[in-house]
Amino acid sequence: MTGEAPDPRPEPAAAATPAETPLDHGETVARAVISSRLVNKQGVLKPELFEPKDGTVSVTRLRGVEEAATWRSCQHVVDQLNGPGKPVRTLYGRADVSCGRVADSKPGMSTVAAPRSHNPAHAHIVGWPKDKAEELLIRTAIAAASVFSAAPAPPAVSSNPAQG
Amino acid sequence: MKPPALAMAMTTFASCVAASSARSETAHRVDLARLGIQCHLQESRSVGIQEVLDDLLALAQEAGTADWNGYGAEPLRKASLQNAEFLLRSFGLGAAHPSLGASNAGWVTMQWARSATWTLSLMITDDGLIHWAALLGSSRSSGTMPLNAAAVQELLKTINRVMKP
Repeated sequence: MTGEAPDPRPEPAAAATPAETPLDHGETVARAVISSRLVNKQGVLKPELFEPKDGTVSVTRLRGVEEAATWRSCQHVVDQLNGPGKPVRTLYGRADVSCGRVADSKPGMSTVAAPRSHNPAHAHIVGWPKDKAEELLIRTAIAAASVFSAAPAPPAVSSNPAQG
Repeated sequence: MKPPALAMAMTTFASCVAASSARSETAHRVDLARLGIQCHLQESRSVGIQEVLDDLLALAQEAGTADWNGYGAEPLRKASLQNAEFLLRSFGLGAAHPSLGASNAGWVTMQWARSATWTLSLMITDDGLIHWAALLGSSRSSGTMPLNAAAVQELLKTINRVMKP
């Protein structure tokens, strides 16, 4: 939980795109990195980060969305996974990749809008092949084309009551 | 339940002892000396890969239950873990250690990387297959092969190509 008030600004531009509409190749999407095992010692993102489930990989669109809102979306992923009796997960960062690089990874691969109530900028990477080795190659290529950003440090908690 | 590394070490020790049991006294002494060297070498090899075997054990604990990743993943499969341990031991001393992980299907994954565009990634299934994908600069390749001696040699070649410019 971020503990922040709802954002009063207008809906981001990404929210206007109907579901399943392919995104422009110039757009960038982000995938939350929630395990240290998703980045190797050389700082290279690993293909497990983009492993599809039920034929899709969830990402969030960056176009028209404030940086802080993108991080809140990533944190929301972690918050959903954490809960009583579950191992505590941490948001390590996010991997940004252009939709054009996704499309270049293999004919048939694309990124489509998949807005959600909690995240209008939600999208899916789709078009995954059934062959496991081929899928692994595409995941590896997308991971290689991604740029990792470390999650911002949580705000320090003030011990001075005067600062409230 | 014994950790895989310990189980393998015990198997190695047992095979060393068994091999030396049915010999004459003299031959037995000679064999003991020779086997002592062999066991020492095997132990050295184990020490050489102990770090990655420990990591495999840690991975088994992290991903040992259903939904370990929050996305409905299968628990790591025992046969995949055993196959992964076999593969790591087969590489022997000198091979670069991979970064370990797990797939949604409950398979061990390994990755060797010099940079983002020079990588070898693989998944080891519970039925003895290796799905692999390599980025070799501007070229890329992938495939599936059974886990055997030929696969180990092929992988070692690719690991060397990826890790040593």
